[in-house]
Amino acid sequence: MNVLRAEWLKWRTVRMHWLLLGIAIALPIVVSILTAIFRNDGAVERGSVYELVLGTSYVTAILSGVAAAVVTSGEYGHLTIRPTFAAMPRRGAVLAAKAVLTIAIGVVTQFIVLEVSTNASFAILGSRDILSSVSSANARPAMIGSIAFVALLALIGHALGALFRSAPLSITTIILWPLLVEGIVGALLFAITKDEQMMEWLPFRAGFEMLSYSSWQMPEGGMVMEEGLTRLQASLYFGAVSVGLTLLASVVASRRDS
Amino acid sequence: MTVSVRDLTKKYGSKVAVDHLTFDVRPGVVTGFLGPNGSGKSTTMRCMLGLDRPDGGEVSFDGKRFRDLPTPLHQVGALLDASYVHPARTARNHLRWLAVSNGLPTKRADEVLEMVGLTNVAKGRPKKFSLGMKQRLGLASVLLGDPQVVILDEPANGLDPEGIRWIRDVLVHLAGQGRAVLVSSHQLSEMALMADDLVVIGQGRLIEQGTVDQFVSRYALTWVRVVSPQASALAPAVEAGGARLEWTGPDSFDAHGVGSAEIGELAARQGVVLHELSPQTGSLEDAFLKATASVQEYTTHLEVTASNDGNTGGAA
Repeated sequence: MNVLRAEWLKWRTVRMHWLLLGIAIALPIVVSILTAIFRNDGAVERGSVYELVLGTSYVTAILSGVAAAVVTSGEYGHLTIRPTFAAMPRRGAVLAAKAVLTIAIGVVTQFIVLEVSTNASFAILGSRDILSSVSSANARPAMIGSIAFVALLALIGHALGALFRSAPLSITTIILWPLLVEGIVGALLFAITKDEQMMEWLPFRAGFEMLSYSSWQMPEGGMVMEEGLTRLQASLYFGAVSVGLTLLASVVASRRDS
Repeated sequence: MTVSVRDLTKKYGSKVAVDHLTFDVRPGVVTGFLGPNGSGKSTTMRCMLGLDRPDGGEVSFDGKRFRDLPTPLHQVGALLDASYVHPARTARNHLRWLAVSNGLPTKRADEVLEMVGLTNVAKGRPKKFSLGMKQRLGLASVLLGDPQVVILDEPANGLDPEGIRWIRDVLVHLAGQGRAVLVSSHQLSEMALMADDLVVIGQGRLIEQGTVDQFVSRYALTWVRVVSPQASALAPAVEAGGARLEWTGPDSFDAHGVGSAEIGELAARQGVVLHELSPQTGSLEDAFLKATASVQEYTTHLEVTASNDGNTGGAA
């Protein structure tokens, strides 16, 4: 418990961490609010608000991942990892505390973003009398999925920071992996196998399924998912990748010189 | 608490940084850790604290490995480099997280800041600190848990003369309280003033462990200084006794290879008046340079010209 308390104290006593967290929270909220203010395409269904808010989750997730990578790699960059391990020699416990903290901050961050963005958007659209009263598909699973996605991406940022011990390399990886690398790998996989299903197993492709949402409502209230991984399968797979990477980082960081 | 280093070995690729090193750090004394640049002092200290993984050997603190100490700050306080602080985290918060990590009350941070004279800058950020202030902050982190063992790697670096004297007094005081103090430094004059024991290494290997006096008497030159208005009359008799003389002035010489008692008796027999007859011993620096001459990692072959008298000498 002391390890977790110490890691939290370390986290909260650096302004840069709060700045990154503030950007991760504020940016999607501002986008949602501005969209609600300037939307001018007739009656707006609640479902499209959820679509927008969940769409901006990706920004929160990337920024949370970047923040986690900065925090962990910063320990190595400033060499504060040495007094850390000299004060708390059980490295596994230190890295686990950092991971727990990262997940907790990711969960809180995305929860705030979702709550503020949706409620503010509904309030603004309502005040402009353009919020449709038509009900939409249940957005709760996608909301929960987006919270988990942000937390897991932050965990990946932490793991990359511990593995690479370099902020630029960790940040570059966490941005380019989903945006560029998976696109190239996916194209290569398709070219070789001619099987689109293979691409579903790319980690971030699976991760995006966690927060996929369509406002189109089936009569029985169920969601329409494209062929491939279900939300639960995608969540488990992306979670396994994130945790696996974190465990790998913990083992490597525990064995090598600090 | 006694620190035992046994057969410690650390390699970086094919380079052996620490080579089967064995020594002890006793409680109640300051143990100086000496060696030329690149001799493996810092690597040894990192291995002692579990920061680097040794390839062989072990380090124990009263029989326990460092990583098995549940709250190590209570047993071992270490300062390896004053720059190991987050530049944007205040001095007070740096000490507070360290305190919390080992179950110490956060008010302990303020206490140690006062001890090292940094209370006024407790809310300051290390990026604005001088090296001397960072050293003081580092020492505050060492004192945080009131440890039984203190390990410091060149703590006087960057300190002004007052700071150097202060750190010397602190270390002697800590040893006087029964703590084991291991301190590395290149400031041999300071080491001579504060160390009781020495561990001298070169190229990762142990050269000598013992007291400062033992080390100096083993490696430094000893001679007898003779000052007499009749020095030239006394000199042949001293040389005849097997001594080698170095004239230091018209009325004085240094005699090597002979004792002061023998010279005194010779002078008495010849009725020579002596103004000074004093045994001389080389400094710790002399002893260190002689002991490590064959294991210097980095040497220069530049000739250094003395600015005041035009003499030249080779620097090594």
